[in-house]
Amino acid sequence: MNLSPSSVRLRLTLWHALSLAVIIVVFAAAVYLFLRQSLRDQLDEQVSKDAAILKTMVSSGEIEETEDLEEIEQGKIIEYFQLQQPAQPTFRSRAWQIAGLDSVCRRTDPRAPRSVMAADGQSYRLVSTISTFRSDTVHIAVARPESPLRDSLYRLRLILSLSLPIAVLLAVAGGFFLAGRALSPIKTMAAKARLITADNLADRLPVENPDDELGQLAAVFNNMLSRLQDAFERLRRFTADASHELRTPLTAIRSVGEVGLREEQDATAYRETIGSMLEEVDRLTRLSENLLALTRLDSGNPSGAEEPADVSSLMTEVVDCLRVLAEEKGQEIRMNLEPGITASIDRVAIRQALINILDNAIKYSPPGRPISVSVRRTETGNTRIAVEDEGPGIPAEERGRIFERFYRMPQNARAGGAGAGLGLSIAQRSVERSGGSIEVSESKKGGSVFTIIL
Amino acid sequence: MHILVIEDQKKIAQALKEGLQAQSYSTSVASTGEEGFYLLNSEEFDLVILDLMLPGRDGLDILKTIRKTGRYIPVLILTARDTVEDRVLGLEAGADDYLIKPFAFPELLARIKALLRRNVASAATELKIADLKMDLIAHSVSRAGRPLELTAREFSLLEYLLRNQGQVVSREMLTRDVWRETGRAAPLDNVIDVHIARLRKKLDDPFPVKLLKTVRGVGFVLGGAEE
Repeated sequence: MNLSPSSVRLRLTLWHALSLAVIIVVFAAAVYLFLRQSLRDQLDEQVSKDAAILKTMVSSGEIEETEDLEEIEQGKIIEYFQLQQPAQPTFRSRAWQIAGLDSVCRRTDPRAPRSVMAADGQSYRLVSTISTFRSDTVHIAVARPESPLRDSLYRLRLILSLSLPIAVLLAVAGGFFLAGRALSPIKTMAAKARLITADNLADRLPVENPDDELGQLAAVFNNMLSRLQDAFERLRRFTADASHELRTPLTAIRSVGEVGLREEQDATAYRETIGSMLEEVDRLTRLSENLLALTRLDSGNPSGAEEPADVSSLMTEVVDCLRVLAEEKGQEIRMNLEPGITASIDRVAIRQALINILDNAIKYSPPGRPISVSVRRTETGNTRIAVEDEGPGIPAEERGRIFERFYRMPQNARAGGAGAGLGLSIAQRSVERSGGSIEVSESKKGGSVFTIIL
Repeated sequence: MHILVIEDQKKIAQALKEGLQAQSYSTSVASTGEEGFYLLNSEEFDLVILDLMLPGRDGLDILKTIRKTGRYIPVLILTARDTVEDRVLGLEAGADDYLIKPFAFPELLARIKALLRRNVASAATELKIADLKMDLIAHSVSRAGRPLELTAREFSLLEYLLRNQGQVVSREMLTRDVWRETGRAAPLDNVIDVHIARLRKKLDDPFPVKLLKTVRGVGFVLGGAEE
């Protein structure tokens, strides 16, 4: 169990306990204050009632003699009181005297209830009033001890202060348990995820409820795993294809060399042998350069070489460069370029892409058939480059694959086409790096149209 | 001319040595940076070919040390690290030129020649070989007194071949120096072959002596030095 401060479970528990503690404290304080107030009010009411009773009794003449007062005193209805009449000794109830209330209350002008500290160290709620009996003013003071109230409040405080830690402890325990339960799927997920390596990327995390947060997390994880698996799969295939591609020239070099060495030959024959080997070396070099170019394009970060460039003149350059190839095959390159169309591109990469695509068009178009090249601005303000040939076209089912690395259309692969099947991949990656897209479709005359949108 | 090759790969070092000696450059080989440094201090060299990836000391380190000695000597670096940063690093450390492995030997020769004659200005206004004459100012070419009609591209191709006459010129060199294409992955080989064929048609077909030859697997050469 992880109890380090960074553990989510511990933090959740602590936050939970803390917030609960705050709530309990506020609640307890409110209860306490409310209770105290109502107990006070109750006491004040009682003591005021006592005073009123005495007042009525005095004014109605029920109290004339000291005995009457003693009777009241003994009735325990009103215990603490004092009556002051002119020309008579002040009457103080026994309890009044014991409590020593006279020391704090000599003259009793009418006053609302107030707390006083008597000589016995107890506090009392004291109220004083005036009554008249036979035109004499009688000062009445009544008190009730506050100790029952204080005792109640003390007990309440005690209960609250004892129960608060217990409640918090329970909250901690409960919170810890709940957090553990809530987090346990994450633990399971982590344990499962830990087991997934490059070797079993096909494994997925269990998704119990795809709608809750954890289910979504698991789904996100699984999605990532799928992409990783795809990437690994591509890499694996790429490596396999690359080594296969390397094998062809290597085999050629080896057999040409071995055959050349088998018997004594004249210098011209040796020259021929070595030249043939060097041709294969050239193929290897080109392959490794293409692979490097692709790796660099794949490395993700944009080249940073994007700057506004005149796409029309770039296209013209490319056509001028490759025109001789078309001329050799009696193909005409028809250009339909809107002048001065600029786009923010990596010029070198896009040039490469255009060369690869136009070269393809020339290569796969039959002799004598024209190739159309156009550059124009689309309605949305993008740049659209199209290269259209009248070749055999690309079957719809092949179109998705021709940009894949090392992919050669079956008929071209059979014909032993010169390329390694990287030209279009490089073109696609180059265009994408400049933020564009490339696609292939069927032209009106059955050939292919490669369209680049920048 | 005395060239020092600092290269730890025995096969490459040996090939370089033989190839350079065949071109009558006297050549010494050092297989470590320390050895190269020792040789540099004990003998006079006109040029250093330095492999950047050496055991022990990094080639860049050695390059910097060479530059610190104060005596100028052209350095051509060889590197398999084909990234712009590496090239910039090498050039910043004081290299005069670089070649990326794998390189073509004719290319290396061309670079060496360029470095060795760097201080000699080539202000020639006329290039010629045998009965072929190229006037760089009038922009005209004639063979045996008969003017040849060349396109602009054919002209610059022939000029490049003339400047490197007797030396094999690879397709890579042409791609870079005549077509000025930065990406070597560009499928220009066919383009070059077509231009060479057309040039040959104008240059050699009407004449009994053929000047432009193809060296299989390597490139093209103008003039007969390779036979």
